[in-house]
Amino acid sequence: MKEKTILLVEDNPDDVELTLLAFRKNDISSKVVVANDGVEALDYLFGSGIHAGRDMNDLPAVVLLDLKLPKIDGMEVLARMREEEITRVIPVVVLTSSSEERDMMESYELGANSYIRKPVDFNRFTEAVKLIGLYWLHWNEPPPLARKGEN
Amino acid sequence: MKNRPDNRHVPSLPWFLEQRNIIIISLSVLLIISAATVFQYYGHDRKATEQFLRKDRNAAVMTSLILEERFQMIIKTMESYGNRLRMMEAVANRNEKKAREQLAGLKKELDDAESAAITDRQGTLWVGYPPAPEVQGKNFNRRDWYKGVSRKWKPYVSEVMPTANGEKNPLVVVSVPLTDNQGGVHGVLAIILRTARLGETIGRIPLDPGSFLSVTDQKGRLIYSSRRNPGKEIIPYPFYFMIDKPIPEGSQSVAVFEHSLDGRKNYVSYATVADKGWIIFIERSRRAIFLEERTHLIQLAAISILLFLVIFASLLYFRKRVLTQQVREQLQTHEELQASEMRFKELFDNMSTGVAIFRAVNDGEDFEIIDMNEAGQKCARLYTDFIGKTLCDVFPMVKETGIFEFFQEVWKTGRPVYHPTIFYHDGRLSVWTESHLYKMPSGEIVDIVNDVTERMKTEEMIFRQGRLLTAINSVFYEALMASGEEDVAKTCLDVAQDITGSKFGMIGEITPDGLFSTTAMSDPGWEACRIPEMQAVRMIMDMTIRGIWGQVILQDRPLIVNDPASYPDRVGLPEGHPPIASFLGVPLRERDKVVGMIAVANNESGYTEDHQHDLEALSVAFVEAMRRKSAEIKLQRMNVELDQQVSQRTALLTAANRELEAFSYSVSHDLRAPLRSINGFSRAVLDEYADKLDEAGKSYLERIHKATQRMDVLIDDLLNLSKVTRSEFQSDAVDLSRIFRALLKDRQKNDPDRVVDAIVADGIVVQADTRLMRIALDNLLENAWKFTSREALARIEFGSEVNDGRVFYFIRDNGVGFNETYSGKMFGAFQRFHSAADFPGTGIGLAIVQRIIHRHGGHVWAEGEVGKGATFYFTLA
Repeated sequence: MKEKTILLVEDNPDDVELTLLAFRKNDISSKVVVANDGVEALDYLFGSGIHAGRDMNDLPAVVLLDLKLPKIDGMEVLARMREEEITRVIPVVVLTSSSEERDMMESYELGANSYIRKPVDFNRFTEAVKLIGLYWLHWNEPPPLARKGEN
Repeated sequence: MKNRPDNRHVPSLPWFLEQRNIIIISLSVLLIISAATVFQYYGHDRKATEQFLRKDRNAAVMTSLILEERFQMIIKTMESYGNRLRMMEAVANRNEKKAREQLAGLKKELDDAESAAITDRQGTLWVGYPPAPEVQGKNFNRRDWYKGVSRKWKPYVSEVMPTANGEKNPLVVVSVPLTDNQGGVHGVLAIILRTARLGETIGRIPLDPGSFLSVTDQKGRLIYSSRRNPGKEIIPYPFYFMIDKPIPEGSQSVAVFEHSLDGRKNYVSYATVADKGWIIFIERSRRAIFLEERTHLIQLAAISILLFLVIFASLLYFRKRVLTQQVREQLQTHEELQASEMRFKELFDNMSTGVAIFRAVNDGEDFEIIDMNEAGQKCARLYTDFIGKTLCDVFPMVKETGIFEFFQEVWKTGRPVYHPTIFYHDGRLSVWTESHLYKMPSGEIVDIVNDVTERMKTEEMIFRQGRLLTAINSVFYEALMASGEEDVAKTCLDVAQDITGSKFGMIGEITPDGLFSTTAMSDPGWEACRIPEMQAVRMIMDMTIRGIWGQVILQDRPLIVNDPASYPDRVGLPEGHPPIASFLGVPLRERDKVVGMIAVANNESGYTEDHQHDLEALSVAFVEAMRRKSAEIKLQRMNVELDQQVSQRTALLTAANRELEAFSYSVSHDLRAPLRSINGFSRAVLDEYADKLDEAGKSYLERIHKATQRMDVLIDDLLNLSKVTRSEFQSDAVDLSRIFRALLKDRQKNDPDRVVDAIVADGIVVQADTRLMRIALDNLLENAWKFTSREALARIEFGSEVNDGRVFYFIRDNGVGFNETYSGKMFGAFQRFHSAADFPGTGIGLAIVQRIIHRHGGHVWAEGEVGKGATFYFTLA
C-alpha cells in the first residue's frame, strides 16, 4: 500500500517543525507535504505553479489547513478546494490557533471536515496530532475519488 | 295652598225636609187634620145630637106615658067614686052631705087634689070639698074643664089655670061625667089638681145635665118646667109656637133658637100625652150637647194635635237626623278633606318639583301669585312676600323671556303648555327651568316648574368640556399635520375664536430677546396689522407702558375688556385694524413663565369668565401643541444630525470593532503561535535534550513551559471577555434556577470530591440572553466554588429578593470572603484578591460577569467580609 500523503498548510516554520515533531513522536511515517502559504497549497493540489507537472494522482489523504496564511488564506484555500472536483472530497482538517466562533462556522460552512484548535501546550498538541494522524490515516476511509489516484 | 276657595259640597235635603217645605207640609197636614177633625167632629156631633135628641124624645114619650098613667089612675079613681052607689044616690038625691063625704074620700085618696067638686049637668056647682061657699051654686059651663068634659061627656083634663089664691103652682082640673046606670049624665065630678105634685113625679125622671123638661097644656102654657119655674102667672112655653101643629102622635124633635139667650141654639123634643093634649117638651141646648161632647172633641182635637205633632215632630226629627247625618258626613268629609288637604299640603310643600298657582289679573295683563311651594320658591329664589304679588312684580324681565306669553296663552286657550328648558335671567336670579303650565277649572294658572339649573350647568360644563376636549384634540390633531409652529398657532387661533365666539384674534410669543412677535393672526385681510419682526421692538416697548394687550403679558393675567374705549391703558389701534368692541387676552405660560399671549376680540355679547376659563384651558394645550411642534421640528433637525452622528460613530465603531476583531484574531493566532513555539520547543528540549542540561537548566525550561501555559489561559480569558462584549444579544425568558442547577451539576461532576450544600431558589425566570447569563452564572459559581474550597461545610446559595420594588439576584457563599474596601476593584479585568497560589485564576471572571450584567442594563456588586463569605448581587434591567 502506497504511503498516504498529508498536506500540511502552515506558514509558521515553528508550527511546521512542531507538527512534524509531533508526527515523529507518534511514529506517523506518512509523507508530509508542507505548503507555506495558500498559493503553494493550491499549486500542490492542482498541480500548478511550483508544483506544475506533479503527479496529480497523488492526492493527499488529508489536508491540515491553517487559516491565517500569507497570500491566500486558509478559508480561500478551503473554498477553492471545495469548488474543484478533484479536491472537493479531500478531507480537510482545519488546524488553527483561532478559537473564534466565526472561523469555526465559516470553516464548517465551507466544507471543513474537522476543526481543531492548536493547543499551546506541546504535550496536548502532540496528542492532538497523534489522534489526527490515527484517525485520518488509519481509521478514516477516504472518499473513492481520492482513492482513484491510488490506481 | 293658601286662600283656596272653599267649594266643598253641600249635600241637599230631601225636598220634604226643606225648612220651607216642612212648614208647607205641616200647614197642609194641619189643615187636613183640622178638616178631618172638624168633619169627624160634625159627623160625630150630628150622630150624638141625634142620639141625644132620640133620648130626649124617649124621655118625652116616657114622661107622657107617666102622665097619662097618672091621669088614667086619677080618672079611674074618680070614675070609681062616681059609680059608687052612695055617690049615685047622693047625686040623684042631691044629698050634699053624702056627696061631700064621697068627695072627701076622693080627695083623701088623691092626695094631690086641691079640691073636689060636683056640678050638675049644666055646670052649676052644688057641692064641693073642702066646702067653698063662694063658688056654691056658681055655674062653670064657661070654663074649659066643663067645656072639655061636656063636649062628649068624656073625662077631661083641663088647660092650666092660675090658682085663685095666687099660689105658686098653677092648677089643672080633671073632670069626669057622673052617669047613672042607664048612662044618663047627672053631673060632673071635678077635682083640682095641683101641678106641683105632678112636677114632683116628673122631676123624678132622670135627665141629662143641660136638658130641661117642660110640660105644657093644650095651649102651650107651662104646667111644669125643670128650667123655668112657673110663677103665679101662667106663662107660655117659649118654643111652643115653633113646633108643628097639630101635634102629632108620638114624638118629634126640632132645633130652635132661643133669642132671649143670645140666639143660642137649642133642640126641643116633644111628645103629647094621649087624649089629654098636654105636651112634654125636653129641651137641650146645643151648648149642652157640645159640653157633653166636649171630651170627645177634646180627644179628637188632642188626637189631631197629637197626630199633627207626631207628623211635625217626625218631619223635624227626620230633618234633624238627616241634617245630623249630613253634618256628620260633612264633618267626616270635612275631616277627610282636611286630611286630604293636609296630605296634599305636605305633598305640595315637600315635593321636589316647584308648583306655583297664579290668578290672572287685568284680563291676563299680569298674573298674581296665589301660592307657591318651597321647591317653587327655591326655583324662583323667592322666599318672602310673594303672595299677592304679580309675575311682573317679582320677575321684572319676565316679559322678555317668552315665559309670559306662555302664561297668557294658557290663560286664554285653557290648553296646557309645556315650555322646555329655558334660561331665565334678570338682576336677581339666573336659572334654568322647565315648566308645565295649565289652567285649572277655577281659571287659576298652575305652573309646575323644575329647576334644572344644576343639570344644565353640569350639561353646559360637560358640553363646554367636551367642546374644549374636542378643540384640544383638534389642536393636537392639526398640530400633527402642521408643517410648522405657525400653522399650529393658526389652528389654535381658529379653535380659540370658535370656542369664544370671536371675530378675530392673534397669538404672539415673546422672542428670546424679550420682544413680542405675532405668530398667527386670524384674518388674512389685515396683513397690515401684522407686526414685522423688525417692528416688534417698538411694539413691546409700547406695550410695556400702555396698551390693552400689553397688560396681559406684563401683569401675567387673563384680561377681559368689554368696553375697550374706556379702558385706561388703551393705546389705540394700528392703521387698518378693525375696531375692537370686546377683548379677551390670556397669557401663554410655559413652566409658570409667560411666553406669549393669545387674544381674541369682538364676541358680540362681550366676554364672560366662562370664555376666559375656556381660553385659559385651551392656552395650556396651545402652548403644549406649539411647543410640541417646535420641539418636533427641533427633534427632526436633531434627528437628522443625530443620524449623521450615529452613522459617523457607527462607522468609527465598526472600524474599531473591526480592529478589535482583528486584534482578537491576532491575539488568538499571533500571540498563541509564538507561545506554542516556546512551549513546544521548551518541551522538546526537555524531552530530547534533558541529558544535556543540568537541573537548574531543566528547572528554568520547566518554568518557561509553565509560563506559556498560564499565558495560554490568559489569552483564552481575554478572548472570552471580548466575546462577551461583541456577541449578539438575544433576549428570551431564561430560567436562571435551572441554569444554576445545571452548572452546579457540571461542577460537581468535574470535582466529585467536593461536598457543597447548594441552595437554589426555584422559578427565577428573567428576560435575558441565555448564553450570556449562563456565562455570568458560571463565573459567579466558579468564584463561589473556588473560594469555598477550603470550607469543610461549603454552602452556596442562589436566590432573589425584592427590595424597594427592585429584584435582586444573589449568589452567596460561606467562603473566605474579602475585604470590602476593595470591592470596587473587584470587577476590573485582571484584578485578583488572592494569590494564584491560594486560588488560581486570571481575574477576568468577574469582569466578564460585570460586562454581561451591564449588557443587560443591570448592576452587579459584592458584599462580604474576610472569613465570612461573600455575596454577589446583580440586577437586570
